[in-house]
Amino acid sequence: MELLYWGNNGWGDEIFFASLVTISLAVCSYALGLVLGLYIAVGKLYSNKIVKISLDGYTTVVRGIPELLVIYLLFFGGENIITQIASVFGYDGFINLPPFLIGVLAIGFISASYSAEVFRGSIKSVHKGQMEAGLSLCLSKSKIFDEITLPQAIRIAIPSLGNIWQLTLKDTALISVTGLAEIMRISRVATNSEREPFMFFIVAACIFLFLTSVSTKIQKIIEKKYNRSMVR
Amino acid sequence: MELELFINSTFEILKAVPTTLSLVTLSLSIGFIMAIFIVAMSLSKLMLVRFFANSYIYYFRGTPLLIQIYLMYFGFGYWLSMQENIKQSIFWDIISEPYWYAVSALMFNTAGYTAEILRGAILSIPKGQFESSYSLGLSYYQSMVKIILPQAIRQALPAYSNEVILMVKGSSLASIITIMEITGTMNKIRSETYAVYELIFIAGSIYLLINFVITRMFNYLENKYKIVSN
Repeated sequence: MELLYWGNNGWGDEIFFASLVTISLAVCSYALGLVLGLYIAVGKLYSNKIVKISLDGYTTVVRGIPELLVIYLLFFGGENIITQIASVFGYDGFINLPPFLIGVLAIGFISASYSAEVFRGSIKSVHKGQMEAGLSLCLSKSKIFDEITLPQAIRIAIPSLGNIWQLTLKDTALISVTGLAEIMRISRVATNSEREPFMFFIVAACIFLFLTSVSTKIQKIIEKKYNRSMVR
Repeated sequence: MELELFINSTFEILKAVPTTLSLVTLSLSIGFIMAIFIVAMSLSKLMLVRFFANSYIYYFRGTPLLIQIYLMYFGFGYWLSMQENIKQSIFWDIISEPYWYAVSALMFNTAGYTAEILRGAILSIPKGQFESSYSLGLSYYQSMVKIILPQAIRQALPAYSNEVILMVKGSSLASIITIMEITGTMNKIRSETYAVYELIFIAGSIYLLINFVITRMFNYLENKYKIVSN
């Protein structure tokens, strides 16, 4: 049990800060996923055919290949791409990306492809009459989307978006392959150096269980709040 | 990357496909049988049995698959390797094989998810189905197997196809415990040749193809067992 103490002799502080890294990684990539996902969904629904096909391709591919491949692509190939783009603009040095940023981008792109599908479905499920009513009030198309369609779509999307949050949270564990000091990485290092097979992994599992159950509770509260105007 | 290297690595990665498929099919088939038992337990009348099944599902759905694989291989496997009498026994050749740790981790994981899917499907069957089968004189077991489960499985097919795809994607994590399946082989070639995009393109296309075939198969099954109403 001393192994979990705070300070130099224990791993308590390392595990604590690693949990913070995991949480911030999850929050950042989830936010990125939501924003990107909304844009992708709008592009899929309202754009021309070429944009539509390429966005369909994006969500199909990202959802169809293992998360690990996306992470490898960005981790081993991302810096190359960025450097090459920079060299077009006249910058000739190698650009290093911090592992945290790579993690946020990788998990964010994955999360975006799932959120895009959810947003698309929920925007589509808003009744067409709502849009026609907006048009008859002489609102512009973008105003109708922002103020009539989207608020109703979000209410429908919220339960599925909660599931995507859980998925994103669990996907952050995969970032440990890049060496970022989040929970999985720290528990792996601790296991190796202390020759203690079970304890650190069980602690890590407990942290994840805690995080997922807290977010389930929060999700219930948010769902209740958004559904308060709905009479069942 | 030259064309020759591209073709060679394509063949090398293709050779790893059977490993991925065997990981997936083995863990899915054992996991499905386990899931049926877990569902039966979670619908049991005894509180302790129900509690066990529910916490099993809670644990395996609430933690990342990676942690389960680590716990299996670096935890349980490491602990086994510290036991002298196991190390001396004839089973050591089998026990020291990382493949079995990957299969069992994936199997326990999919059992948890599948159990949740099946439970949802069974609970979605209207209660009247139970009552009418009781009124025909069927026992609980008979009405479960002959009336409820066939309907529940049809109900569960779309969610289960998602779970199968998740398993195919999850099997890539086995590469972390040194199993040479598609991702593992790709990573090995990558560390030898420093090519990234081409290799991820090859591996990604193979995974997409596998998932495409699975989606098609489940679409066929869903159509076959669709309720024809008029």
